[in-house]
Amino acid sequence: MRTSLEWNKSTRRWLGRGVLATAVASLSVAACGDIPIANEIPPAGNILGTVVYSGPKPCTQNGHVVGAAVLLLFNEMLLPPPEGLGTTAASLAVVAGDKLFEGIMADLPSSTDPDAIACPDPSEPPVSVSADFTAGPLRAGAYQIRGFYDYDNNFSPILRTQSLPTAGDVGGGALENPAAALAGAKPIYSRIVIGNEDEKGNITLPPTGARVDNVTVSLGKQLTWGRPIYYWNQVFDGKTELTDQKTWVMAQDRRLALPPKANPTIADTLFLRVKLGAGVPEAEIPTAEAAPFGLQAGPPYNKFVFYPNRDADGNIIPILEIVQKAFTANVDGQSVSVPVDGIPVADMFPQVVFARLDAADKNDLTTIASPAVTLSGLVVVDNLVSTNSNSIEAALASSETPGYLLRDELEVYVRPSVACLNPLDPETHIFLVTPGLFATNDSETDPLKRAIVFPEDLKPKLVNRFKQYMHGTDEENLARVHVVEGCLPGGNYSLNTLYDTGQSWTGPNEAGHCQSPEVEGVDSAGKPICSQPPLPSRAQLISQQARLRIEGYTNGDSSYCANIHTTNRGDKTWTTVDDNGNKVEKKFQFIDGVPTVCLTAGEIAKNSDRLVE
Amino acid sequence: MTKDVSRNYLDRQRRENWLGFFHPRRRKLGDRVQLVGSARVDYVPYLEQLVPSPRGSFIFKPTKLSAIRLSGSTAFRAPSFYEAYLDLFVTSESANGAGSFSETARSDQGGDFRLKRERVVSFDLGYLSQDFDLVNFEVTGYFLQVKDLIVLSETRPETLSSNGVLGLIPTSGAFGAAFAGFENQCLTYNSFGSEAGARIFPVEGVDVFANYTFNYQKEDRPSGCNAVANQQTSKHKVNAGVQVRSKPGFDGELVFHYASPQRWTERVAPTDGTTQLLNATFDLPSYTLINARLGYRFLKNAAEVSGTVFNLGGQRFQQHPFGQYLDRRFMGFFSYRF
Repeated sequence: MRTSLEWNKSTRRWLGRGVLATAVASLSVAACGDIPIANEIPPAGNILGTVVYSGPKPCTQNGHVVGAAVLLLFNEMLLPPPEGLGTTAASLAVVAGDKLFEGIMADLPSSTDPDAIACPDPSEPPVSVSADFTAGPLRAGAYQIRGFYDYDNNFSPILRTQSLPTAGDVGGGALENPAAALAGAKPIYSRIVIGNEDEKGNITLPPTGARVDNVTVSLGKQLTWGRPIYYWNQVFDGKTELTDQKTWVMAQDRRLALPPKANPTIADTLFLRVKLGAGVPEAEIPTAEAAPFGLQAGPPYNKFVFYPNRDADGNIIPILEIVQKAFTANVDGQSVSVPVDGIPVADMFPQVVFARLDAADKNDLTTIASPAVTLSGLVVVDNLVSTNSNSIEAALASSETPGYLLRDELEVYVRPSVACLNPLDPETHIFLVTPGLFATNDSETDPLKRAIVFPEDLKPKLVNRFKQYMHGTDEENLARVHVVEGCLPGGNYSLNTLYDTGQSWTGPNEAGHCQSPEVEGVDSAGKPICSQPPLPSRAQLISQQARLRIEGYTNGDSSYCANIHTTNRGDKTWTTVDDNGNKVEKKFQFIDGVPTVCLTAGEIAKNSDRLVE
Repeated sequence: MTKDVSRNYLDRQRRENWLGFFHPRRRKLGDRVQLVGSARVDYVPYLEQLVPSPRGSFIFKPTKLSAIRLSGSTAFRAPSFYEAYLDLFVTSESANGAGSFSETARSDQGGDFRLKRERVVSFDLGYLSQDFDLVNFEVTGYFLQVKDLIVLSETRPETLSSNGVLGLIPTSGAFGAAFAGFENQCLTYNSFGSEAGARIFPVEGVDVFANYTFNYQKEDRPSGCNAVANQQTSKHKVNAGVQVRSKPGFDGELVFHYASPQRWTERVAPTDGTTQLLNATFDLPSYTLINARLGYRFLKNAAEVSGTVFNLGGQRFQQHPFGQYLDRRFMGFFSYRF
């Protein structure tokens, strides 16, 4: 048995000679009170559910399924056109093909060559599979899920030219009417609320976050046509063709000489008109179809698919300018009886929307988000008279592709008016700005022969058009829509062609420009290329560089815009809410004739010395 | 030395064999002059090169208890395994269907990118005097240059040229939308500073001390360098205090500390569905601390019990913008030496 002396010796040997060992006991007491948590991650929400796919078997390559289910989550305040002004989804969730088709992998085509893509025979029956998905984290808000199965595996969340479904992809979403939509009816997307919504439509997240379960996303409508890819073919100012791309400019004070719907046979002389060709110019087709673009730009996809916008009852919806119900307008203090328009011009797909671009991006690839400034193009089929509803129904009935008209070309009349709004403002106001509510034929005394639009008729239509921003009573909603005479905001505008399948095309796009870190250059033949060493250089598609520019004044005379704040025959004031929740009436302010509600905060600050009201 | 690491965020299992050589020399030239030098060479496997880190000092002693020192040194930090061999797919914070390839090798740029080592060069000139019984003081001036700091690189979003390299990752079920990783920061930091301090012994067992540090930082920014500079070191720091040691065994200390404001720049993830890391600047305000200690030695000074309060004034402050707020702390200690 060891003695204490032996223990001491043993201990010293263990510690070693000369080692000073200190036994320290410490007791640490924090300051009174809780330790505050800094930089706490804010609460968020998630959506969980099931993707149900019904469609053709997918292809495989090297043991993996080609493609994935792509779920795009849109905040309902920023839905994609035509419903809204969103340019990007709020979030993205993906279910890889390997996971979605896991249960039937053995039944899928395969190849022993690892580089080969094995695809099913088109005659094989469709399959139905499902898999779970999780989307998030999401901020408070109401969302829609729109999605597609990327059958040809060409999706990219970043590149405009690759970010939407193409022909062959299988579309769908979280739908209220999945069976009807997949059979061709207009899809009604489910409204998924993340957070707690009050009676005014404000949505907030509790500290514990939010979780929405059991959401079903149905993918089952295979898209038969490609994205509405286009190129600028011809531009006309009235009857005159503008041949120099640098002159594709519309003046900020552009007004119409006559009301088009009262003069449909000469409507083409009144507008700046753009004729778009479907796909890309013939010389660019091989390049556009090849890597890295991989566009469906040549036959059989280089056609525009025309079809009318219909309401829930299947009736063609006319364009906003068409008066469908007689009313009494106030014109310069006089009451004017406005009858129903005789020619109901149809609102057609593909729709065309111009969006104001951020001047800071020299490649014109960035859209200004706040305020969103959009200009709606009027799509005509053959001519304005032919675009009336009766003619369209007859043409659709006799078309080789029943229900649709396929054309090589699309003509859009550029409306000289813009809609300005801040999409994420809970108290969003819609401002329709046009340099002229009346045509310039001042000698005509009958207002019915001069009015382009009547605000009394237009405002309820705008409430319906932007209904996702309208959460109040009819009266409150109408009070948030304003029609103002003002000059158009200057700058470059992208042109967006839209189908209601979720397919759209935007130009300019990265196919026509180099994006950092790509570097501009020319190849041995002098053609412009983009280089990103050591990756292979790639071509630029010149057809994808074109854009509209709004600039300058008619005949170089700026006096109309300079004085429009005094001559404005539209709304003069609007009512907003201050920081204390009190209603405040504000006069419209203008810089060089442009209402400041259509300008960014930076533009207003930079030009505040020219601000008038 | 051998390092053998396998982690799921690395490209593969990595094994590095390091070799180092260190040789110090000291030489006296008479009674007043001393030269101290050392040669250090390391073989860094990742860099595949020998890296020298020489240092030297010249010390002149005008009196027996004072010294003037001029010294220079170099040092480096090689990339860690995480920085050197990173290969990890990181999903976007707000869109779990997309993410970026975080990889050091940069497959979109050939796959052979290499980081450089971080480097430091420093010089200092100081004077220390212990000639007087009542006071010791020291004054030092220094220059420090830091370059090639390893930082998170700018995210390189997908382009049409790199489109073929990215795409769907079957295992993660997300789309690659960008490349990320590490880079050597283009800024070179030059710090000029000085320290001055004194310690006074008015009576036996009582020390009164104070010191002040000034640090001025200036960056060299080559053309095309858009990095956001940090100001993580306070420009002014002051320490002052009194220490008491008594024969009965009671000890006490009261120290005042002040640090002037700092500015930190950190890379943060976006929350808008994009993948581009953002530079965020965080300003930390100045803060003052008063620390105190009271102790009692016994058992012939073999044992001591003491209590310490950190941040007696209770000012809440952070030492890093993401760090917890620190406030008052009380600590008790017991020690026994044997």
